[in-house]
Amino acid sequence: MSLKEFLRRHARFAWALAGIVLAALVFDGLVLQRRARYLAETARLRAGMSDFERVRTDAILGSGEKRFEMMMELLRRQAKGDREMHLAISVDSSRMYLERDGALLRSIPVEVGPERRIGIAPDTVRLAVPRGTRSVQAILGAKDAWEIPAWVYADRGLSAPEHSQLAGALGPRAIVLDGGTVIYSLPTAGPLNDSLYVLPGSIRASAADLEAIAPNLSTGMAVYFY
Amino acid sequence: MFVGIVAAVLAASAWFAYSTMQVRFRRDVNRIVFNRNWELLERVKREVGVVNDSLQEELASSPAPSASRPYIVVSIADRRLWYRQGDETLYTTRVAVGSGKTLVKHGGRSEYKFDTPRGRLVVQSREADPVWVPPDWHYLELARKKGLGVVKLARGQVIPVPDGAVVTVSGNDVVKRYPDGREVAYGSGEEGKEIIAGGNVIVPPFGTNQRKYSGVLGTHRLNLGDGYALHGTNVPSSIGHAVSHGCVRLRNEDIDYLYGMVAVGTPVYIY
Repeated sequence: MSLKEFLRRHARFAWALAGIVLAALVFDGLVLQRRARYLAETARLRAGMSDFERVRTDAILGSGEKRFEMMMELLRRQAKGDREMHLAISVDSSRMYLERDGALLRSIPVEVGPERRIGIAPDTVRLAVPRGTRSVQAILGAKDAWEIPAWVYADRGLSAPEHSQLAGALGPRAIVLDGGTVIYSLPTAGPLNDSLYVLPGSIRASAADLEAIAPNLSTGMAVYFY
Repeated sequence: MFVGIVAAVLAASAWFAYSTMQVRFRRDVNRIVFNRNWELLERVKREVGVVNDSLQEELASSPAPSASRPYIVVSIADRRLWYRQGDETLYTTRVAVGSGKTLVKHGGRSEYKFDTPRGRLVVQSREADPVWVPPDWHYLELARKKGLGVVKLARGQVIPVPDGAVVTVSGNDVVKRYPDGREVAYGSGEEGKEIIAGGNVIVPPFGTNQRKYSGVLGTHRLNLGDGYALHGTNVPSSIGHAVSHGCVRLRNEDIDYLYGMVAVGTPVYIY
């Protein structure tokens, strides 16, 4: 359909769209005007400042971002300095490390489940990618059952069964952490049996990697997310 | 397509508005510092976490981990060894690890378990041309395989054998002493040539030549304590398998390399 044909057939709709675009452009114009004013004032203020004041201002402006980086660096150092066996998960580089006393025992590629808000407001669940320290609550094998939360079925567009306990729901080997986060492998059955779907807010690794580290894990062991 | 264009324009407007808000925040902070509005400045600093920042102090007090100390990692599941410094791998190779089998001890009250121990061990000593002094389980295992009994020979003890002679210890050798007083020493320790007499595998006492096996452990050994070690082999085809009695077995060329690199005190993490 040509543009002329479209405009002729859907004149009202086209006018409405044009109106929205026009309003957005007017809004942008106003914002641009203000932005120019802010920038000009900032430049004027900085020109009147001493070097010390300029550095001080930049430090304040940069600290929000820096604070987060510092927290992550601190966690990384805490993990590296932990003398006991522990897991450390670098969320940004999608890797899990088995470490002890500063030594790297195993580096494992992982998939980090996305952050997601599930449900209809106000009854929603926010599943965030973990940051900070957790501890191992349970180590599950292929025959161990896991209570699949109702939101998993909702997120997958499936109807929740009456009994949602399923043996091997988290694959041949899984680690359950406090706070509900799980480090799991691809199961052969259940709603998580989909290589393209990673449980939001959780970690998936290969079954072989989890099997290799499983004998070294114990309940209460620290797991650092940074 | 038209709807797409409108959506893109709206998204661009939203991003532009957000970015302008940040510009305004920068302007505000500049204005506060310029006007020396200290009270307000302290409040802003608190909100963005600059003052009383325990995080900064904590970070300063926890030094970055040192990567200077090399260490060895052994994965039992992968049957592989890594020699590392920090996160960098200096050397890696395949190894043989404990079989996981068990051998019930004489009397059946307890058993030997042939596992490679997990945890943190340390290289306690280094040896070239190591001699293997087999533990008792070696003789028990052989006896079970051959359907024979086991007799431990002590110094001063004589074990009669069917041809009228006796097996005993003379000096540093286990010997066969004939009725005429003639003594014939058994050969030095060698796998498959253990002393069998009167339906029993004889366990030579520690310190005798018959309890010393050359070559079995390859060219070098790094001792980890409690009888465990990283060592070479005279059966290179065993590398990559779970066949040892608990030690970590390497090809001779690999243990040669490690022997040249690894110092006493190097940590060994087995997982």
